[in-house]
Amino acid sequence: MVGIGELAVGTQQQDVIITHALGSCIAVCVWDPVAQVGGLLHFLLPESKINLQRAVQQPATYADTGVPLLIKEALERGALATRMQVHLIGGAEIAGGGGAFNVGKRNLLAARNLLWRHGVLIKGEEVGGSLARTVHMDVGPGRIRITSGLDLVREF
Amino acid sequence: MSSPKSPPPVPDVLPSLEAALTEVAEQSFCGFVEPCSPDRFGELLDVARESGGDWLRAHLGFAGPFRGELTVDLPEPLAKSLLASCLGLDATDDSQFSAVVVEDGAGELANMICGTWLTRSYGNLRFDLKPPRVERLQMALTVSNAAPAPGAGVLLTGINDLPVRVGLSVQEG
Amino acid sequence: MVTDTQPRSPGLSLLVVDDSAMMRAMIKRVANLTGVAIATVYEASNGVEALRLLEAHPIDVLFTDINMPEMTGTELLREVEKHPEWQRMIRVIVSTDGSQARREEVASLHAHAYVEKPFRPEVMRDVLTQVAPTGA
Repeated sequence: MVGIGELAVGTQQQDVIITHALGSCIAVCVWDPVAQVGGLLHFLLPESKINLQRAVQQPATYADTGVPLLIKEALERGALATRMQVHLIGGAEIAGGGGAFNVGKRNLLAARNLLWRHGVLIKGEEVGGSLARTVHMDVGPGRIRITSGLDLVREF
Repeated sequence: MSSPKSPPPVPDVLPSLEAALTEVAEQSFCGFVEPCSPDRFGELLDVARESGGDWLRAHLGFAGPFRGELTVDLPEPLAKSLLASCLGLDATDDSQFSAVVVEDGAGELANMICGTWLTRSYGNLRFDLKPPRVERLQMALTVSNAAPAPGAGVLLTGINDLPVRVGLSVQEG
Repeated sequence: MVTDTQPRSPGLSLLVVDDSAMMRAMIKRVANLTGVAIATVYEASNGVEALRLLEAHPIDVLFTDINMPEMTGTELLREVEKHPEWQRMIRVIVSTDGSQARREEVASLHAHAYVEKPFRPEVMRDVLTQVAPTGA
């Protein structure tokens, strides 16, 4: 179970990584089918410069510290950047939440920017809108199920 | 050869110009775009002034059923960070970008904004774009309350919380 | 006429033609991240330079902008049409100009794909993986 500002990486066939309540946050899911490595990062904000201390203690809070960490953790377990299949989920505009700041859009752009910087291309996205999403990732087959409430929204 | 067409009133096309700028900033530069009131633009100008540095002005002309010129004014630190984003590089190492390379990036930003606007708004017409030219502005940018000249207009936006001013002028082809 | 006497390293040879150095660098970077085997990426800033490179090196995939000084992308593609030995080369247009008029103009010039700027890296990846000759 991955909470806000957390990440997890699994290498076992039966590993499952779940994260809830993705509003304006982004979940970055990575999967290397050959190395059988799967990881999920749930970050809250785009830039760590607003709170450098928190970025050190909880790097998964921010895109610019969390995405490199997710990639590093995956690479350490045998994943390769060119083999990694990456999906982005979340980045919704939640009414009354981010307001004029548009956190959801900023987070999405930050995630894309950081992945590109690390030479990782994105396979698919389920982003934007106003849904709060839950992500359920099966590491073995690399299947990602995205739900909102009781509804299945998308499957990768 | 396309037949001449009356140029559009510039205030009418500023929304579509802004949409084109947003598309370019997001797709090629992962840039967050914020439409600005003059007051908000003034706040962003204050932020830019604190960082210091030059401003860059990229301009290019276009010709077709009508003619015109687009200018994009932006602070050099923003031009550098947008260039870094486009190339997938880390912007914090400032020294890696020569002035020539940064100016090229600013020119291509203007080129893409102009081309995208023309394609989206006048996709059934044909325009040729001139190569962009980029100059450095040492003067401080201010927000003018003067009414724009006929056939001209200004768009004020923020990209990544820094000010960007786009000028458009059009005339008969 | 140049004959290719050296054995070529495995992978595709690409030529990227755009008057923006930033755009050439971005396309080159995507090409090297797609997993498609790339041997060399040549660069040119206009059609004249591109022709010189085409005459000197066998090129598998040509990416070209349209609006460029000296010689435009359209003029370059017309020149390419005149060379029977280049007809197997994949040709991709990369341009802000997505107008109907321009697309019609280039339709007769055997472009295999048309990428509109601005584009995300993933779009260029999709185009390259679709047009790249298999078994290269």
